[in-house]
Parts: sequence; structure tokens; C-alpha cells
Amino acid sequence: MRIRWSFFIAILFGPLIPLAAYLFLFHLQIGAPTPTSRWNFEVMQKKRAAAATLKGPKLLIVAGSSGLFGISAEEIHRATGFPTVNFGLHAALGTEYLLRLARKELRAGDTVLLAFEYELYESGNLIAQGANEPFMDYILARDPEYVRALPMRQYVKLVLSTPRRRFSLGLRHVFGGGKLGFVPAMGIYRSDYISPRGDQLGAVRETRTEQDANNVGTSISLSEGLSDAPVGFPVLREFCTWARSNGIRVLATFPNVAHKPEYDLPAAEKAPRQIRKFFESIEVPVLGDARESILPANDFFDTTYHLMHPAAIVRTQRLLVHLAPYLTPQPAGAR
Amino acid sequence: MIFSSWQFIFVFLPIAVAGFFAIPVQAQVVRKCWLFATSLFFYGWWKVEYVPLLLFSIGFNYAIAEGINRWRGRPAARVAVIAGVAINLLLLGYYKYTNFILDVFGRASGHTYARLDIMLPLAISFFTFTQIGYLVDVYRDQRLHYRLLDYSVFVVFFPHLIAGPIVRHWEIIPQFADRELKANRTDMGVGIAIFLLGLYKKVLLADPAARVADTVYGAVEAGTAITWLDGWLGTLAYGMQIYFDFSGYSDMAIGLARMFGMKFPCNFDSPYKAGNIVEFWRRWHITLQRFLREYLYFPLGGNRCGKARHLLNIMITMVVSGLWHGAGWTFLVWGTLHGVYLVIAHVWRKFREARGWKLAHWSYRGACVLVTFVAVMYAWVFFRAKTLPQATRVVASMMGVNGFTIPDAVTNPLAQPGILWQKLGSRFVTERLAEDFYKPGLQLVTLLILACWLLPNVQQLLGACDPTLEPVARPARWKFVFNVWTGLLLGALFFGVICSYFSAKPSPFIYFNF
Repeated sequence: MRIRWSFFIAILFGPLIPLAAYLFLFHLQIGAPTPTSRWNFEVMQKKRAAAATLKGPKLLIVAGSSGLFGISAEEIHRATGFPTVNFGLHAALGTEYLLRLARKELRAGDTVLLAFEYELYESGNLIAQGANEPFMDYILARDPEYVRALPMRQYVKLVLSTPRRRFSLGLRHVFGGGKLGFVPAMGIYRSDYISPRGDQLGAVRETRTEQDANNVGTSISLSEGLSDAPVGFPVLREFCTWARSNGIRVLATFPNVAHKPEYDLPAAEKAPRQIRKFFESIEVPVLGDARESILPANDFFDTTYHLMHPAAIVRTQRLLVHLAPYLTPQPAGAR
Repeated sequence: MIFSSWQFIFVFLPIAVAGFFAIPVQAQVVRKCWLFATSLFFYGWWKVEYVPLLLFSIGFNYAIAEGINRWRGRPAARVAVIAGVAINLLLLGYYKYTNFILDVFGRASGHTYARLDIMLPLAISFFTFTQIGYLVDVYRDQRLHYRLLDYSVFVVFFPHLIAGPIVRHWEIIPQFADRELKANRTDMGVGIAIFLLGLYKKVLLADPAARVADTVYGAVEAGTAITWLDGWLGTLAYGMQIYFDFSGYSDMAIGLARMFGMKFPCNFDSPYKAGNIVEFWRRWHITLQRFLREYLYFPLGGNRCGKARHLLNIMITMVVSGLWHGAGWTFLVWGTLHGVYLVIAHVWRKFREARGWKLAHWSYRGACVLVTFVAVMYAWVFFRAKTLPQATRVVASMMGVNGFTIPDAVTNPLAQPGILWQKLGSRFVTERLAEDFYKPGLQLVTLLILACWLLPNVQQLLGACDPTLEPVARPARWKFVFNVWTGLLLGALFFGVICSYFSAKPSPFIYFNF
């Protein structure tokens, strides 16, 4: 038996056929609004609309869903009269992307309160780190501009690492003529549970199921501390530099988190210490203490970060003790 | 370095092959030195600190073999072979079993001994067994004598070094000691085809099955009470994972050796098609079973010293097989369970023969395949679980102790059998399957089981190219043809491997642990 050279050449060119087909189908689905990305998108639209209606200086609370559930923009506005928008979004979108979205809403004279979850300090560029599925789903479905602007290396990584399930969902949406817009009932995870100032509504004891209560877990990043060089720090430093140069005041605080016995051990002091030291190194005031934000687990809705609404009001009032002195309109251009 | 990693496929392998072919055929010593050097680099990539251990092992065993040859006919030869085997086993035992033995003694004496910080050198079980076999063969056969370079290349040749097949010196060394070590275009084509098919088994079939198995066994480790469906799905997925992982690795090893013009023995022959457990062990990890048979089972007396002793020898061999796979109670139980299966199979065969039952009907064969498959799956639970209590919980769930969870679509047809199970003390739980785990998991496992049962294996597909040392017993009707279309197909599937590089870290082969 003699094997022809054409067999070897065909092996070399073989991967190009599925690659071409895959790239074609991938491009077709960029911007196809999948039902799974709808909640994130609608929540964000609502928050952007809330921010857009405010003409003067405002307070923007930037966080993952701990801020969405745990800090009440309505309460801050009620107590201080300062225009406030809760810009807390799904933490899976990652620190860099959440800050990118926040930049679009910030103007000179604004104040931004960073209240990121402990895990988000370990989140840098999600695509370089290995993007999670909700993030991929969101940017592919709702932010084609971001996808197309990615550097080539990151773009290739995104294209080839997109999960098969997400790929087929996008295709089904394209070839199904957008008929897959149905989102199964998701309890309070609907945009009509977002207040006009961006707060999450409906997280109350009466709507919490047993399963929800069981999902209140532990933050490993808090109980064990952050890594020695958290990749989120450079991203935050770059954002703070940008904010300063654009006349935007930056404040930081700790996220509300459900109490666990592990947090009473000395190891749990590491992450708050690292975070405070970092913000102090870039001259960003840190409001309050991590201990103040560790609240009874029974006050949480369905994750270790999702505070129920009544407890969120109390938590916000505690935060206001530290926050209120900063809520004075600052002249445009001031730092 | 993992065979499926991009470093191996795109950097190491092309350099190793190009270097081999760049050396003129006449410079045989240089070619062997090249293979030796690249193999050591391949081994050292994992942990360079263990390269001296490998070199010591080679030097020590070669020296003992030379001593046996020199002292042949004298008691010193016997002392040398015993000492050689013992030192090999002690070395293996130190790295592999010290902590397990400390644990056993600790439990027995009521003391707690601190675990030693010992890292198991990669492939130590494989290169130790390979060399023990050599020492015993030298002692038995006075004609055996190889040059040090040939022996060293035989031991370290990278395609088999890490996870087998466990090759025998008389199979491998003559391929490059007695004739020229060279490969041609056909060897390269056949080798690439076998390597790629093995790679696809690993990356496209075993790794997705691993994700299903890991989800279930991860839940068990976290203390979750899993259901009947969870237990079966996780265990079937693991059964598929370990088969496609290890047989994929073996195919890749066979393909790599062929690229250098060498042939390896067959290591897998569609084991899940086996009609009884004896046949299963003739098809699963063939080279390990061959080793245990020749160097343990036969010396113990095999089947020539009475019925009871025969069955005891089987049990001893399988317990050793279990412990070879890992130092732990779970592996001990796994080996023992297979020993019990084999004893039952032998007793049943004797009983059947005594009654004169032929039982050749296809339905009997089908039932036997199914029973063997289920028995093997139950045993895999002990192989996969980290502790005996975890394994027990999985086995209990597979027996329905935690209730039955079945999809809505099949609830009604199963209602009657469900009542029977309820009467037997089990709960019958109807639950809608979560689409993001159960549905793709079930689809994948079903497809893989059907592939195991219905499709020919790689050796059968490439039967016309003599892929292994042994002739292929049952070549497939549909033969692999080397043309542009099959080349394109093999290449096209590689796209899936490329995607895996971006979405996940290459997962190591299961047998790298042993």
C-alpha cells in the first residue's frame, strides 16, 4: 500500500473547511438578540434611561448584583436629595466590562461609588481570562460593536471558545426568524422589577422559596482572601485615572454579603485589607468597614450577595453615614 | 507533556519527527540517540527532577540483567533477579504506597501517622513493570542480551513511556536492533491516521463525557444525595470517559510509534462488546493483563493446581491489578470486585459445560454483553469515587435508594414497574429533567454507548495496514481508505481539537495517574 501526498495535504487543509463554515455562521449571529441575554439588556436599558434623564451631577452606584439588590438609590435620593442611579448589573459581565458601561453614563461633576463583589477584584479582561457564558452571550447578542472592536487575538479567542450551546442558540435565533424571544418565567429577574432609579424590587421574604434560601452560599474570595496580585486592580486603577482626568469623583465601599462563620476567622480579614490598601494607594476614599457590610444570612434572598429589599434600606442608611458628606455637587473639572 | 496538548502536536512532535528523518538512515546510532534524547525531554517536561530517577532505573535494571547473564547457572543469578525485582517493587512501593500503608497501619494501631510529602513520579508504574518483565525474561532465557542504547530507547521511547501499552522487550527491541530503524511515507500516513483518531476519541468524546461524570461525582463529593438517574448518568459517562480516554491514548501511542516505523501491541479491542468478564479482560488494557498473567498468575500456578487454588490465583491477580492502579481502598475494592466477577464467570462456565448447555443464540449473547457491561459499570464507581463512602452512596443511588428520577416523557410507561420498585422500598420521584445538564448528558452517553457497541474500533478500521503487532482478528467491512476525502475528514475533525484549546485546558489522560 502506498499513500499519496494528497492525503497529507488534505489533512493540513481539512480544518479550514469547518473553520470557514463556523466563521460564516458565527458572523451571522453577532447581534442576534438571544432570549437568555434579554434580562441583562433590559435592566441595563432601564438604568441607562434613568441616568440619561438626570441633567446635573449624579451619583452612579457601579457594582455587580450585590449593589443592584443591596444599595437603594431611592433611599439615597430620599435621604439626601442627590440624584442617584443604581447601576448594579450582573456580576458575570466582569469588572472591565461593567466599568466600560459605566464610563458611558458618567459626566464631569458626577460621583461614582464602586461596590464590587470580592470576586470581581479577581476579574480583569474576561476574554483573556476565559470568558463565562453569560458574558459571551451578552456581548454577542447585545453589544456587536464591542465584539467587532476586540483586538484580533481576543476576537479569535472569543470565536473559538464560544460554547457549542451558545453557538447553536444564536443560530436557532437567526434561522428561526427571532421567534425564540420567549424567556421562561424567572421570578423577580424581569425588567419590570427594576425601579425607575435602577433598584431591584420584589426581593422580599414572601417571594423567597426554600431553594432560594439554600442558594445563599459563601464567598471564597472573602473567606480565603484575594490572590497576591488580583487582576481586577489594574483595571480599577486605570478607571480611576480616567475618572479623575474627566472630573469624576470615585468612592469605594465593600459589598453586602451574607454572614458565614468563616468570615469571623482571621483569614477573612485579608481581602478587605487588600482592597482598602489598594484604594488608598490610588487615593480613593473607602467608605465604611467590611464588617458593616456582613449581614445576617437570613436577610439574603437567593445568593450570598442578594440582599432582600427591607434589609437593603437599612444597609443603605448605614452606608449613608459615610456617603452623605461626599454628596455635594462638585464643580465640573474638580477632582 | 500531554499528547493532546498544542505544545506536543505543534512543537514537540514535528521537531521529533523532522529530526528523526533528517538523520541519515545509515546513522542508526544517531537516530536512536535522537529518540532517546527527545524521549527524555518529553519526560522531563513534566518534572525534570525525576529524569535522574528514570535514568537510574534504566541503569540499575540493565546492570542487574548483565549480572544475571554473567552469573547464569550460579545461585548469584537467582539472587540478582530476586534483588532486582524487589528493589523495583520497593521503589514503586515507596512512591506509590507509603502513605497508604501508613494509613492502614494507623487505622490498625489507633495511631495517626503524618502523611509523607511524596509526589508520584510520572509513569513509574509503567516503566517499573516494563523492566521487571525484562529482568525475569533475562533470567529465564540465556540468549537475551541487548546493547545499552537499544535497551534505553526501548524503556524511554516516548509513545509508550507515560501510560503504556506495557511493551515487552522482544516485541520492540528487535524492531530497531536487528534491522534499520526507518519509516516510510506509508508508516507516516498510517501513524498520523491512528494518532488523529485516538486524539479525537480523547478530545471530542472522552472530555465531554468527563464533564458529565465530574458534575455527578463532584456533587457526591460535596455531600449531595444524588438520584438514581444521576448515579447512572454519572457512572455511564465515566465508563465512556475512561474507555475513550485510555483507548484514545493507546491509539495515539500506536500511531506515534508507527510514525517512526515501529509497531506496538494492541491494547484495546472493543471491551464493552465482551460477552463475559473473562472476555472483557482479554479486550481491556490487554498489555497489563498479559503482564499480570505471565509474571504473576502463571508463577502462582495459574489453573494447573486445583479448582480452589485456580480461583484464589484469579483473586490475587485482580487484587494486585487493583492496587497497581492506585494506592487506596477504592482501587482494592475495584480489583476485588473484578476478581469476584471472574470467579463467578469461571464457575458459571464450568457449570454450563457440565450441563452441556450450548447457549449460542444471539439473544443470549446480547444479554451477556448487557450483564457484563452493567457489572463493569458498577465496578467503575469504585474506580472513580475518591472514598469508599462516596462510592457506596453512588452504588446505592444506582440501586434506587434515593428514589428514581425520570423524564416526564417516560413517566407513564414506567408507572407499573415504578409500583414494583416502590413495593421494594424505593421512592419513585418524577422530575422534569433540567435541559442544561440531563438532556445533553443523556444524549452524549447514549451515542457513546451505541458507538462502543455498534462501530468497529480503530484497529479494525485500519486492519489492512497492520496497525499493531498482532494481526487484526476481525477487520471491519468498511475499510479506511487513504485518499483526499478521508484526509479532509481527518483534518476537518481537527477543528474541534483547535476549539478545545481555546475553551479548556487540555485535560490529562486518566492513566497518567497510574
